[in-house]
Parts: sequence; C-alpha cells; structure tokens
Amino acid sequence: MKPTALRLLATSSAAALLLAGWAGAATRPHYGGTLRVFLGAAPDAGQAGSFSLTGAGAEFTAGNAGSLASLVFDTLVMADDNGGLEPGLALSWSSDAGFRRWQFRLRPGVKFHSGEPLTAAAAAASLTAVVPGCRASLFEPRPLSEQPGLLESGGAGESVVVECDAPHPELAAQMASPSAAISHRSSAGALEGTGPFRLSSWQPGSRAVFTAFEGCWAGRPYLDTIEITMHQDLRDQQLALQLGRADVVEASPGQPISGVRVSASAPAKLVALVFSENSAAVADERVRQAFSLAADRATIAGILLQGAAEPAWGVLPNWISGYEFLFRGANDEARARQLRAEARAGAPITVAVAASGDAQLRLVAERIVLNARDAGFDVQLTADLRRADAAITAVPLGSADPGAALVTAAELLRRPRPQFQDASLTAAWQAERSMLAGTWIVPIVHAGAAWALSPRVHDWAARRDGRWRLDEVWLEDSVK
Amino acid sequence: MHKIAAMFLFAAMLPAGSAQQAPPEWAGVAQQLTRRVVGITGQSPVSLTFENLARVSPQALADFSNALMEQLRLAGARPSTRAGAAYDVRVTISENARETVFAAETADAKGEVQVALLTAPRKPVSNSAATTVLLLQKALLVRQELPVLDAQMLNPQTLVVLDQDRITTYGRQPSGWESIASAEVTPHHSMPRDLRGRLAIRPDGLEAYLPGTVCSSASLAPLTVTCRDSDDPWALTSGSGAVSAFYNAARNFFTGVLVPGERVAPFYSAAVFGERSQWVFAAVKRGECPAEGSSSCAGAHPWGSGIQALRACGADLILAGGAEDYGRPDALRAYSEAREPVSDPVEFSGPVVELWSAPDRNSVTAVARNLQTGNYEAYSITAACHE
Repeated sequence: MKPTALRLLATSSAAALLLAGWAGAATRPHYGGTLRVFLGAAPDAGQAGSFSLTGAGAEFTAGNAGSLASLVFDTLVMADDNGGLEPGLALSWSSDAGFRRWQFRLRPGVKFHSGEPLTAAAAAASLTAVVPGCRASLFEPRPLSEQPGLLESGGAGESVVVECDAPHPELAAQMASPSAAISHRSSAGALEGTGPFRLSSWQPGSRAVFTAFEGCWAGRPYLDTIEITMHQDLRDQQLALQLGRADVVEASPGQPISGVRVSASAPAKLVALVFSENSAAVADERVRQAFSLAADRATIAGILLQGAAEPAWGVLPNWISGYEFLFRGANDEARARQLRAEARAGAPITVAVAASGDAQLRLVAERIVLNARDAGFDVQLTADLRRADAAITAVPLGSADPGAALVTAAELLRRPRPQFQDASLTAAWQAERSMLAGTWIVPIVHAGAAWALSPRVHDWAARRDGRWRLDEVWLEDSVK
Repeated sequence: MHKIAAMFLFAAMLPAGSAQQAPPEWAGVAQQLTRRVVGITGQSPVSLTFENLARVSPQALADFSNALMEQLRLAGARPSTRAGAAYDVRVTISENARETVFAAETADAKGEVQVALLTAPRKPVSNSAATTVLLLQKALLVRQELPVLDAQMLNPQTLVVLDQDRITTYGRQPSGWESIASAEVTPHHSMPRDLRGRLAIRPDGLEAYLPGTVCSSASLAPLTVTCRDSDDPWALTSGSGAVSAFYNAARNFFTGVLVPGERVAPFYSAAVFGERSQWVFAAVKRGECPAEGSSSCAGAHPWGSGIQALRACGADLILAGGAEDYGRPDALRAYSEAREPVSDPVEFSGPVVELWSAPDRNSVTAVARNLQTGNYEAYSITAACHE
C-alpha cells in the first residue's frame, strides 16, 4: 500500500469513528481492593435450610443468604442462567435409568480454606440429609447388571454416590442450591468451605468481612476483601453510594437513580399468600380461592412495587418454567364475594408478614388485606406470625431450573417436597400443579432485585436469579 | 485497480426469536403435538387459536401454525380457526430460560381441559451473512465451549488450539477443520482466574506457556504433552531480535521483566513492532506508561487490555479494542503508529478476551466469548488493503 493511500484511509476511518461511535471492548480484571456492600436486611437464621459457620459465629440460610453463602461454600454443580448445569466441585455426574442412584466425580486438587483436601468422604458427609430419602456415600463399584462378572467403572478420581428411595430426576439440579453446599469441619473445629472467600469477621446483624482465599480451585478471586454492612435503610444506602462510602447498595428496579448504574435481576422471588393448614377460618378451600380472586395482582406489581414485579399465577415465573400461563387467572371480586358467601365465611381472618422488617412485603400484605375486605372478609394484619391464618411470604427461587426451583420453593414454604415422574417439563408442571392444589399457596407477584453500583465496580454480573457473582467482580483503582 | 475488501460476518448468533422462519425442528414438534391432540379429539372438528408468548417472529408463528394445521389434516382431524367446533385447542408458544415451550390446551364441550406440553431447544440461529466494505477481515478458526487461550496456524493446513484443558491439532479438510491430535494439559498447581496461555509452535513440536507452567510436545501429531512448573518467559516476538516477557503466575498480567533484559511496569499486552523502540503497552495500571518514550504508552487511548501488532500494507498497525467490561460486546480496530484509526471496527458477539499476534505479525488471533451462546470463538484477524 502506498503511504498516500494509508493516510487517506486513516482520514476516512477517523470520520467513521466519529459517526459510528465506539463499541465497547474488554478490559482484563484487576486484582485487589475492598468491595463495600450495604444491605437493608441481615441474613436471617430462622428459616429452613440454614447452616452455620460456627467458627466465625455466623448463620446463613439457604433462602435469603444464598449470595453470601456462595462466597464461602461451593456446590458439586453450578446452575447457569439458562437452567443448565455446569461443573462445580464435581467434574461430571450421571444417574441410573431410574434416577435413584447418582454418581458425582469430584474435581481433583480442591482444598478447603484450612488447606485440607476435599475428599469423597468429606463431600458425602456434607451431603447427608440434604435430600430426604437419599443417602450420600463413597463410590463403590457394583456388578454391572448386563454383565454381572464385571464391575461398573467409577472413572478417574474420587466419586460420591447419592442413592435415593424414590426417583429424583431433579437431584443434579438440586445439588446446585446453597443448601447442598459442601462444608467440612476443620481439625480446629470450624465449619469451612472451598469457596473463593473465607469469612474473617462476623458481627451479627451489622457487619461481615470476607477475605480472598488464595488457594481457591477456581483461582484466587480478584477482590482482596468484601465488607458487608447490614441493616441500612434505602436512604442511607443511597447516601453512602453518593458519598463514596459504598460500592454496591440495594436499589428499586422501578426507581432508577439518576446517573448511577443499576443492575436488575429477572423476577426470581415469589411473593405468595400462604394459608395455615391449622386454621379453621381458612379451612374451606372456597375461602382461599376467594382471597386469590380478590387479590389485585396487577396493581400490586405495577403501582405498589412500581413495575419491579410481575403478577404471579404460578410458583415459578414464566421465564423459568415457560408454562406459567397455564395457571393464569383473573382478578374477579364478584366471584370472590360469591365464594365467600357460599363458604359462609364470617370468622375474622388474620394475615401476617413473614419477614417483619421487609417494607415491600408489608405493602403487599396491606393491599391483600384491603382486597379481601372489598370482597367482604373480616381481615386484619397481625404481627403474630405463629397464630396467623395466612402469611405473606417472599421466597427466592434460587435457580433457573424448574425442578430445582420448585424444590427450593417447597422447602422455604414448608410444603411437601415435589415429586417428579421424570426430567421433562411436563413432570415439573405436574409437580407445580400438585403444589398449588388446594389453594394453600396463592402466588401474588414475582419480584426482581436490583443493585446500584459505583463506577469503580467492574464485571458485576449478578445471576439472572438474583444471586451475586462477587468472585468475578473487580475494582477500577486497585492493582495488586 | 482498487480491490475492495469484504468482511464476512460468520454466523452472527441471534436468539431464535429474531429468525424470520420457524426452525426446522419445529416440524417434529407439530407432529408430536398433533398426535397428542388427536389422541384426545379423535377426528372431530377442532377450533384452533394460537398465542405467542415467546420471542418468535410472526413469520415463524405462521409457519408453525400452518405446519400444525397440515399435520392435523393428515391425521384426519378437521382443524379450523373458527369457533364452534367440538373441541377448542389453544396453542401457546412460550419459552423458558433454555427452551421454546409449546402447549396445547384442548377443551371439550364441558370445558374440561387437557394439556400437552412439548419443548424444543432454543438454539441460536445463524443470521444471513452480511457484507460490509471494511479492511479488517475476521475468519472463524474454532468455536467451542471451553475457553480458548490461543490458536495459531502453523501453515494453511494446520491449526493448533490451546484451551484451558487441552492442546488440539486440526488439519484442514474440505468440510472444515478436523481434529487430528489432542492431549490434555495437566499443570501441577491450580491456575488463576482469567486464565491466559500462549502457544509457540514449530513443524516439529510446540510449547504452551501457562501461568507458572510450560507444556511441550515433540510433535504436533501425535501430541505427547508433558507439563512442568516453570516461570520461563513467554515469547512476545519471534525471529531475530525476539523478545520474551515474564508472566505473573498468580495473576493475569506480565510482570514487566523483559528478555533480553529490560524492566518496565506490569502490562497485560504489548504491540511489539520491528524495532525495540516501537512498543506500545497496555499497562495494568490505567494511565501508566510501562516504559519511557512517547510511543510506549497506550493509556491515553480508549483501548482495553488487549493490544497487538498487525502488519499490513507494509506498515505496522496496532490492533486494539476499547475498555469496557466482559459483559459487553466488543469491537477491534486497527490504528496507525500515530494512533489514528485506519479501519472501521470489526464487531464481535461478546467481549474479546484474548489477542495474540502471529509470529509473522501478518495476522492476530482474537478470542471472543459469545454472549448469546457462551461459546468461545477464535478468529484470525487480517487486514486487506488497496494496492
């Protein structure tokens, strides 16, 4: 090429740059720094599926602290945003044809935070009682059914076997949930994990500090430290962000903050009205159906929650199941009145908020009570959750896999574990239909979560289900 | 005579919903759905309605509804879109995180509804090739699930790919690249996040540089790979005056120690021209110039961590991207030594996570992570020019 041509080319392309603008491109992650996160609520130790970090005195729950737990603990498999599974502490997994015996081949070279190696024995011990009716143990080859003289192969490395009394086609997906995290009690007596961070400080209800685990099997995380400050109201959180005292704060997806980057998840939290099976006042299904018909989901999602939620008719939102429309209904106050009359419901009914400090949940509960009164019920809000006839509850679904999300929902709603005939979507739909039968659970909305981020936060990529991926985050001004 | 260079966009990946026509596998769904519906209705007249809750184009929906009507007719049913038949069948196309979902709700005269649910994988569909007049050309070398660290062509017939688990040698066949040898890479210690690696290939073997590890094979096919702990410097240029650089075994950047001896500040990548004085570094610390000299600092430009030298049209160019996060699509552009853009951007379906110059610098290997599929795609980037 002649130099003149190159100059001409340079001139014309420079013009194109101005016209076309610049498409973004990649910057490699930087190491170091402290990420400061402000949260409204503290992890609650009271829910199902909780497990403890006794060494540091911390309590996490599978429900509302999945993001924190995943900093410290790993699972055998990991759920991706499309409902698929990726290798975690297990490199591969398989089941028998009846989905009763699952084998997980462990990743070699993984160490706990104390430096002790991850063994099949440790993994099996950790998985004991994770799935009712299933037992975890070390892999021991069995004779092949088609060739009894030969033993099955366990493949290279150590394996864990989970054997169940009943078929569990969803078990691999369930192994991605925080409640199936692999933990281990070190020789010093502390419960520890293999995750990218270790808990270094825990002040119950106020502050937690996590530090990078240099020996993490997936590589040391980019951040040195994560500081989590809890029990900050939204106004204080936003102020901290604006003053540069926080890097990540909670945000309302419906209320973007001017000039601030906001990351929102898909609607992955079910807000539902759950009736007590011990309550005489709601024993007649027509009463429960009337509450469902009276609930004005569109107003709750669109106005009360400012568009940060979608009306819910199923346990799972359509983006997870693809079939939520099969459960859809309509707000029908006249029909609700009719059902109430048919049931001769006159006794007072009390509704509680399952998480008393959750302002969003309280708003929903107040509207549900209002809607029920419009349908003729005598309803009151109560602070006494144990004696309430019904409760408004929020349940993080925790997975984009329909089966795993249904199991999580059932655990957190304290309903019987769903049974799946096979791994098909039809089986998930049938299981969800069984969960909703009897109208003990009335889905109200599916809500998303959102976070406002300071400009120094890079590669923030929260999962679609709302859980964080802080091991991938890095900070602009930190090079180490 | 001026030749116009064309850039071929290889299989730009789009969600199924953006395709104009129904994917071919939906024909099978129509057949299965027909069997399920006719199993309920027999040969009675059925009234069909369709609802689209997915990102499916009107054309694809029309294709599917026509296919279903045709299958129902072939099965002896009498479908119509008018109301008043013995059965009402509401067909909904929906989608979840991984599949397209087809539901047929069949209601009889009493209003009893039976549901048939089917799914089809929601595969990305190739868009029709677009042609743009550009000077940068990208040619797809390999696409795979595992992160590609480097891909180099020994000659037009032989491609070697290093990924996080393996080294694979491909031979060119009429149908495309075909694997002719492959071997696992087994480092003796855990690797850092944002894993990087560099190939140095010869006709009689190769070295693969990984953080704190060098793996080698005495031939390209078969591959017999042995790995050892090593902090040997990675080759940045080859031939006479070759320069290597030490790599930080626990991080994702070069330490700044060059061989032959010179010390600069840590950097992610470097565009190395023929003369030692003509280097441009992408420094780890933004805005920092790793070495003295006006031409050595990339910090003043909106470039990311990946810059490489590309030789074209008798000139040394800098190939560089921008400076956004890994969650955004990327574009590469060629710049002159004077940092003036000399090409339009070449766009990718995701971030460009690695750039390596070929030893002769006539091409650059760019590895992009497709944000729609999650796959890693290695391209050979070359520049065509006027004569």
